[in-house]
Amino acid sequence: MSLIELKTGNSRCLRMLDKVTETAEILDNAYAFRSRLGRLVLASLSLVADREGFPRPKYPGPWHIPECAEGRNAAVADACQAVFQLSSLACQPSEPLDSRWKATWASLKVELAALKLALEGME
Amino acid sequence: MNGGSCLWLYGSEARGDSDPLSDVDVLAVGTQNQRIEQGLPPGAVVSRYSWTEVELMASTGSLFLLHVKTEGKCLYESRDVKGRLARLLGDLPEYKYVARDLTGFRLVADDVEESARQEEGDLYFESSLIAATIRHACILACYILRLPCFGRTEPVARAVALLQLDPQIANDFFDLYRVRLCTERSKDDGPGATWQQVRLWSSRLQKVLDELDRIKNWEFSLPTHAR
Repeated sequence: MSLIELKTGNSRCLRMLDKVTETAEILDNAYAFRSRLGRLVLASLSLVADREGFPRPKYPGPWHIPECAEGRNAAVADACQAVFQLSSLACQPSEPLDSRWKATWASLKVELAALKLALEGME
Repeated sequence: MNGGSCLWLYGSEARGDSDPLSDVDVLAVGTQNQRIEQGLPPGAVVSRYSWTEVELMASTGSLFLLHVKTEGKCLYESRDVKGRLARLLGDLPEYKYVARDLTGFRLVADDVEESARQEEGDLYFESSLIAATIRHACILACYILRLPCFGRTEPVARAVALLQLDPQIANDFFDLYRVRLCTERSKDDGPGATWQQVRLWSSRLQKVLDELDRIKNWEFSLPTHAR
């Protein structure tokens, strides 16, 4: 990844985050919401990995960032972790259109706002 | 009567066609019974629901519950809920969310198409999404055509044959699905992926969805005796 891409990668993640939020407003979009959320978490963690020089994660999921990581990068990784944990509860692997998704959206919104702040903080 | 619990095995382990890449899929309903769940194999993927949630899903004719009904095996049920899930599964109505699922599949397909066009994002993630969406779309197609099946690749083979789609979709699907399984399980020896392949599969996904769109109202035109 080039220096410019490293510096602007967060704008791409922020665009993805807006798309996730937009999708979540309509319950019928729950199936796409799940995949957009996964894409956002993976892109954000990959950005952190590139900036830190670590191997990128293969899939959106638990990813432990070493303690030596720079604070702003660690903040993004932590926010991703929180989003992932909540989303795996909200979107069961077997039934993405679960009524639970609607109930969990309020909490997920808070975690996404934290991720947005952390991504903006990378600039 | 919401205190009791049950565990049902479904998926490849229940069908008897598991392989080293298979999960052990378990449906847990009701309050968590730690003593019983400790007996599950390590790495079992447990989908957990309350009785209220399962009843709500059953009222919509949930395809997940139909999946459990078709191939599931009861592993455990507490005395106070004996037969409760089996009764719910035995009385599933028509699935209510065909149109909604199709809308969701379309959105995912459009997202993948955009990623592939811009060659932006993660190749393996996009390939995995296509694999999952094609499989889900084919499960829905098989359901609409009254021949439901829920295996890893069987729904695709069946839907492709029934809908007279390009047979290459079914022939190549196993490799695509392996990309998904290896990526999800972080295995390094999985098949490779290229943006060219993602674009090819993205257009195949659109074709499957076009066919699904064409048959989505089929159930309403079938005579009662054919259902």
